[in-house]
Amino acid sequence: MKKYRSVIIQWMGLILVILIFGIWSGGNLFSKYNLNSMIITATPLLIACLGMSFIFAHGGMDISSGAVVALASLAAVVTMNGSGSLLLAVIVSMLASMACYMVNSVITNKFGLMATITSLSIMFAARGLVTYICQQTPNESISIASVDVTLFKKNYSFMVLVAVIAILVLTVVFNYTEIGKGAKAIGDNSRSAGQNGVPVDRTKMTCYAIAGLCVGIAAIFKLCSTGMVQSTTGTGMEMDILVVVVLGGMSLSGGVSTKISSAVVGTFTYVFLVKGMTIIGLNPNIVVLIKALIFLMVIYITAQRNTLKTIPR
Amino acid sequence: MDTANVILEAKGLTKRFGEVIALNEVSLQIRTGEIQGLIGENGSGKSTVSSIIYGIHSPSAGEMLLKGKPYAPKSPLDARGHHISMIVQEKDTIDMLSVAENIFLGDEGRFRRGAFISVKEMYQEAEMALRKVGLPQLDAARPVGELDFETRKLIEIAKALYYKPELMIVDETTTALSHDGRMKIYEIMRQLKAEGKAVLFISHDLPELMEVCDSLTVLKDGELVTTIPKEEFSEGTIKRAMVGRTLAGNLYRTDYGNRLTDQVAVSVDHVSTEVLKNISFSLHNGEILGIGGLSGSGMHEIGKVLAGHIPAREGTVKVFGEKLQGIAHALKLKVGYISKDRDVETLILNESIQDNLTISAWSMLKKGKFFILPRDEKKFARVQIDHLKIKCSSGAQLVRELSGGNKQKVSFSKLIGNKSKIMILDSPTRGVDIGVKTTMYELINNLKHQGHAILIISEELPELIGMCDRILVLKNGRITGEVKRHKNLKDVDVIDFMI
Amino acid sequence: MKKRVLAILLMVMVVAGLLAGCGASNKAGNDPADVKKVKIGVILYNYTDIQGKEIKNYCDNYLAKEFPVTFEYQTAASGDNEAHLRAVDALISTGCNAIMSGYDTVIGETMEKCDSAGVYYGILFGEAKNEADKDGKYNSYGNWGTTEQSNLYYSDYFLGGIYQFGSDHGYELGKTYGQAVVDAGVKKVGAISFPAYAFSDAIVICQGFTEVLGQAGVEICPDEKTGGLPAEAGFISVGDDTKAYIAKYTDMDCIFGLSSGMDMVLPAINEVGRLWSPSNTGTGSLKLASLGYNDSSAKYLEDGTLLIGGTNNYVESVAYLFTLMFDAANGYNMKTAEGSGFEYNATINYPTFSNMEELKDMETYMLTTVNNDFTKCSVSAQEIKSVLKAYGGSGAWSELSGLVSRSVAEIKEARQ
Repeated sequence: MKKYRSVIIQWMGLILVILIFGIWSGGNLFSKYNLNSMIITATPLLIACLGMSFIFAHGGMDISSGAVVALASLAAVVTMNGSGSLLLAVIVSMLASMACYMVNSVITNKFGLMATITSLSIMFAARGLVTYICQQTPNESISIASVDVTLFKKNYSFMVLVAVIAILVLTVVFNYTEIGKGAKAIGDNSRSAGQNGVPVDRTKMTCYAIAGLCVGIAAIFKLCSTGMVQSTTGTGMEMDILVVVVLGGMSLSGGVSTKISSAVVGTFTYVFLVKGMTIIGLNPNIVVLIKALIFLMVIYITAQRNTLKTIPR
Repeated sequence: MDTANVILEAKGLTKRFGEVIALNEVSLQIRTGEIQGLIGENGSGKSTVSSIIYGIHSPSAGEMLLKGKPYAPKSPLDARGHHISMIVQEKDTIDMLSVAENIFLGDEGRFRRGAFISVKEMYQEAEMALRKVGLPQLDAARPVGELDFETRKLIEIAKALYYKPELMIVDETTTALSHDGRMKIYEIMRQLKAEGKAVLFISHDLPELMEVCDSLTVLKDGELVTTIPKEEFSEGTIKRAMVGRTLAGNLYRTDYGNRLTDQVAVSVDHVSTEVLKNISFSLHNGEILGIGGLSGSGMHEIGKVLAGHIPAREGTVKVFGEKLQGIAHALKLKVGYISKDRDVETLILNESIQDNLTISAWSMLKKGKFFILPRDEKKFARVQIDHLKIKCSSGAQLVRELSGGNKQKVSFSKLIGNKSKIMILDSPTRGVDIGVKTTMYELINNLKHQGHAILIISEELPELIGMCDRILVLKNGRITGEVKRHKNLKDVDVIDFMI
Repeated sequence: MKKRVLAILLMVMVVAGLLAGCGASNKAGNDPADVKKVKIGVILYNYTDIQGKEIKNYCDNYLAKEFPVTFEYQTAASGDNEAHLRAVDALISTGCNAIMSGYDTVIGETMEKCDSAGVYYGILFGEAKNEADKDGKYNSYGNWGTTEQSNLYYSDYFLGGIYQFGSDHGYELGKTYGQAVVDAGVKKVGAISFPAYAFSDAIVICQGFTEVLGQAGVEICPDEKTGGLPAEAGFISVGDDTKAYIAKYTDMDCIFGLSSGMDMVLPAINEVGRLWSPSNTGTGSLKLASLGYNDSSAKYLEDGTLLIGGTNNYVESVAYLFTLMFDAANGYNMKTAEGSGFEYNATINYPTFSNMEELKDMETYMLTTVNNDFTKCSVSAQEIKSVLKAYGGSGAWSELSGLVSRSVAEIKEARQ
């Protein structure tokens, strides 16, 4: 009972957000357009957050996702325009994103750098590359040419389907395989995990690869909904992901208390919250401010809780 | 007793660190014109006594009298003000500062002239102090970092002497020094004695103490055993006083037949690491092999090498004839290991008992190639919890919440659960109460009879003597002796190899 | 275990809710005059420059008081397409019936959203052209994207755009500027503008500009890449790019600032001390022809630094789209209405001034934030109502087009 208390609180929070804004907006929150719009926002965010949970679980941190989305989108759009194949573009996007995350993981683990710092440099490198390439084009952006991307852009059932599959598959991997369990053990005590036979470096690498895969998929959805890549593509995604997971009650310090359901409930809460605030006509700058406040608040609460965790000596 | 020339008297000193009692009701007297020795095993409370006298710790109970007046130093500076100085075991100088600055650290005020410190005066004073310890040629302006260890120790002594101590404490200073360095310190101590001052000399080098001291106080497990006057000094008496204990009941196994199988489980062949030097031995199935030694002897390192945590720099470790390569390989070869730092290296305190038990058994629990189902995990954990009677509300309880004994039971269960054939137990009964201890010993004995190869690394001699078929003793990274199980085996027989 | 089941149930509920995707449609209550209340969204780069202030002032303090309409504002940084789409999404979510945007990029993606939501969309400063072109990629004019998207050009919800420099894309305007520069007797002239994809009309304006200069034999300072005018500046680096450009031509004595002449180009020149002005400390000799206006225009015009200036008639632009949108939301879509004579682009006036009298008139009859007297503003509520079907007006596009393309002189005459 106690174990699930925090989970219940998060879901209750979501329901509360839906109820408050549902009523406040006079039901407008549930209009067809708004629901569809929320599906478009939620799908890539949810998939990225699910993947990132693996990084957070082992005590890692990543702020490069926005820039990686841009880079993966760029790789995808170039592939798409070059080959005319959507499938190939999806694969290229996933590979590009995975490559970024693998580099991140290797640098972090082999050279013992702080994960945040490594991801910061990946962020600058990826963002810089995208900006440079975009500047070489006449429109300072590269658009999807003749490929039909309706599937990723307007097919809402497809989006929900992909999201549901992602939730199911990643939940299983997270909870019922050596990868997820190992990641959590590493997050709690990497020394002990290692001495108990968890392959620490390999598990971390796998986690980053999973995160990369997910961010790559998210990038395709984002690319298709905007139709183009430019230097600003994906900006702010990394912050959105952090807000989502903390809203979902994920402890960013990693370990067994990391629940992948945080990504799910967090995404829904975030999307409903932001949409709700927009509908009731809050100034967009205030919406950003509130996002920041929520982030700060949840981090504070999480930090408070974490100090209770006695660190073994 | 003659109290006329007692400079410091301690009455019923007690010091607790949380639950641990480091010092229990210790009373002693230190006299002027006397060098008093203090001896005991690791953790017997020697250093606690000195740190209380020198104001580093304050006692939980008891009182001290200095020249008949109550004495309760608040800090080392305070102690120094009462003319008590101490030279400590560890390096106590700051590399960046000059010799003179080190000598007068914290007391620079004495050279204050207006707003400034008179450096010239400070150097002059320092050179005077250095002359007293036989370092007249040393430039007081040199940074201490440039000097060798021995000179730095002498600077500390110079610093101690400068404050004209009535009582000087020398805490295990000599162990790291060369013969000449030691001689210098002995000389200084004797000189102090001649001047009618008192010296408290802490060491675990028995011959040294016997040579220098006028009387010897023996501590054991935080309690005062006895004070032996010089006339009664003999190695035998002192050792007996240090370790002599009578054991209640049969805590350990009672059989003495050395039934070893011929099957070699682990063979260690000329292994050297940073700490270990040319270690060779073999561990048989059905054998309990003990590793003993003082801390710093490298005994704990052996466990880590066998479990694959530390690679051998030279030599090989073979498990069932296969050359050991890393942790994963060791686990595959069914080598189980419980670390001395159990809470940090073996257990994951923030996870549940179930998670802790299953983590080293995932490969056994896997369904198909990937999946580990909660149902199987629960069943697995249940079996282990029942087997060792781990006291807990359920498998979901966090290990952090368990008592030391139950934590150790969880550690043991991990090894039993993943069917380890070779068990390396480093300090298996550390922080465990007597009840659980009995269970552990029983269990270890059972495992032996099931043919497991067991290596016990322990600082507790009775445990090694009581449980092991053979004991290897380590000193400075080398095996200095091997003792076979015998009914009449005494601690002293083993200690000989350690010191 | 029970809780987990509950959690999964809740999750399924939410997903199901999302899938169902059906909800109430947004119907606003009716106005007493049987006119539906309308909500219009506006997207601009900012609301702090003259353009933003003018538009907001006219909307909030005039239109919103004269008609049953409310306005919602969103900001999107220049050149950030994703931000523009987010703004569109937000405005649709708040229940806007129509959106007018200062962006003429990503029209394709924007219209996909608007079309699916039944929200009207029009471009405030830019032309609507159906050029989802040959290879399906965005071109530098239409910005429609794919062929499929370009079909939305014919959507009922796409209300078109505006020729802000006249239907000749500013060729004549360029000539006017050229003439003013020639008349001032300068010797060597440069020009600087935004990237071509973002401000394609600049090229045509400069063509008119250089033609007049050429005829008068005035030397120009060509851009290294194109060999002609204008030189190109980045969105955020206008100032630095201007400095670099004028540094290359130390004898340049006049610059045509198309990338916001008053706000961006002039301060940059002034910073490096090249600005010609008795009221400035610099010893420079560079005079300015400015596309753009701000509150220091009068000062520089008076001391002779500014040879000619000008700006969009923002009010005409807003009034045009407002009229289309208000009627469309009330059921009369001029685009689809029989015989309305709808065309995709209206032409608004781009007034210029090269003397104080012209400037004064412009401020009085065009700039509501300067004059603050709406009875003299460029397009009055009465005039709008004469076109609006909802108020029994004509509903004719040609009449509306005429209303919003009047010069300052014509407006002045109408207000007498």
